[in-house]
Amino acid sequence: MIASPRIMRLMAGVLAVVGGATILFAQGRGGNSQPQKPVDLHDLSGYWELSFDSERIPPADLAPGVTKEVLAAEQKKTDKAIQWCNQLGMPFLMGVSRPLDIRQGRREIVISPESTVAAARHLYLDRSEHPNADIWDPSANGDSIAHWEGDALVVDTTGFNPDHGMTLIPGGGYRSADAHLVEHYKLVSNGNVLDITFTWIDPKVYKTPHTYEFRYYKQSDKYEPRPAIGCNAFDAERVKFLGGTLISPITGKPLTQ
Amino acid sequence: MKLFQIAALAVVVLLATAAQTQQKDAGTIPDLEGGWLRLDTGGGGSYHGIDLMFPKAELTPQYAKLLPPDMDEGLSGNGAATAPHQAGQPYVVYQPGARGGGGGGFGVGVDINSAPFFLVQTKNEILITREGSGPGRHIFVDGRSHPDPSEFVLNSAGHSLGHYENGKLVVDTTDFAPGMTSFGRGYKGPHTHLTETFDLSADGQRLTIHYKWDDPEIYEKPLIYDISFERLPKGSYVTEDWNDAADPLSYQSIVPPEQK
Repeated sequence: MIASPRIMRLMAGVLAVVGGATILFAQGRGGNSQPQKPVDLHDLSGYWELSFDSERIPPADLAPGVTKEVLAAEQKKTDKAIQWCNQLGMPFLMGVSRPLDIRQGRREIVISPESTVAAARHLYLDRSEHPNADIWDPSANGDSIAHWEGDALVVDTTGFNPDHGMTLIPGGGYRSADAHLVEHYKLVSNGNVLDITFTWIDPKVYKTPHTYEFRYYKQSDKYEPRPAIGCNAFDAERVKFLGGTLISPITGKPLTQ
Repeated sequence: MKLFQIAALAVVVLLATAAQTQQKDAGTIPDLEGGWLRLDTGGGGSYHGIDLMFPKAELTPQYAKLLPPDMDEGLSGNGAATAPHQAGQPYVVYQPGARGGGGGGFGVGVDINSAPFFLVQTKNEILITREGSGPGRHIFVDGRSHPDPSEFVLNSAGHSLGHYENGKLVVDTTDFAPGMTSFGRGYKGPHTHLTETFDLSADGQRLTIHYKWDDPEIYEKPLIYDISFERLPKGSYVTEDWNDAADPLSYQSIVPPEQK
């Protein structure tokens, strides 16, 4: 049986309306059924992981005051932080070997590492100034404010604590109290790669600003984070491996387990 | 023909209504983003005092006998001196080595403590972080299922799935590593289910989380309690919760001032 042209037109109209409504319905769910949707270059949410080819780190152009002795002292701080399972802070946090969970809200972007020795970073989108230095307690992560410039998220971080965490910076130099870090986050490769350039500005440490670049690969939307590896500062075997001695922080004498 | 037109119209109306309903549901997603500070409305004053404010779990005999006998003796049991001291005299609260040096402990996973927590909502995941070291808590709202416990690394946070229901966030968590709950003297394990309902006040300034721990092997009846939080003011920011295992002061009590 062949339908009349009028019925055919009517059926085509109904199909078009039904199809349109179905699309509306699917969009209303706001969920996962949008494979055709173009990549939103202003949404960094996802799990991002470094790989073997992710780092481009040129040697830093160090200031004359950064002597071997100064670098040795910074190395000592870093060794201590590792041995005692301290919060390691920036720049360690952005280089962890497991995926970073980056979640972009309306007021801030949070970067959460799968690590027991790093606290989440908070990049504030809702303010354009750092807290007053009189009230800010310097920290290993510093204070970060962020804004969009075209398709790049620009993150400005200051307020570092020079004695907390792992202070050594990839390529050379270290994180001082005066360090100023500017990062540019940009989605490339159709949103499957997150490119971040890190620029450390600190005239006492660097003759010229020190810039390096990391590329993070996007993990599956169904990625399941794993529990972070624990850290026990009183694990004698671990301390021995690190080349240290397990001592009591209270008595200063060797601690036996 | 008329019947066909009516049927077509009905289909269109039905689909349009469904689309509208979906949009309405999206419109009732509560704005939970921001920092939240626990309100100690009952004046617990200490960990032990707070513990006493919560209802006690009704445990099955198998689990009731696991409860430590010294649960009411506060911070005893770690080998440190906790007896009252003279004003101006600090005392050791923890012996070095009695605790790990990073991560873990009270306030991680699904538990809360006196530090604020920070919540970010995205379409696929809600992320909750705290001021100290350690990974955040991930609540998936993307329609995935819980993994099989045999294929999942059990941990104190378990595995959390969320959805919005009548303007509230409802979170189901399971796949816990065996251990005690922080409140109510209960236990949790791979098959325990924790249901949390995040209930935001009309003015958006207060959040109450209703907790329900359920596991027939552990509980005679579910352990239920509420915890309330207030929203941190606009412009608040995260500070560093510095805990240095190498610092002798981190093992001591606060120093009580001389009384005049």
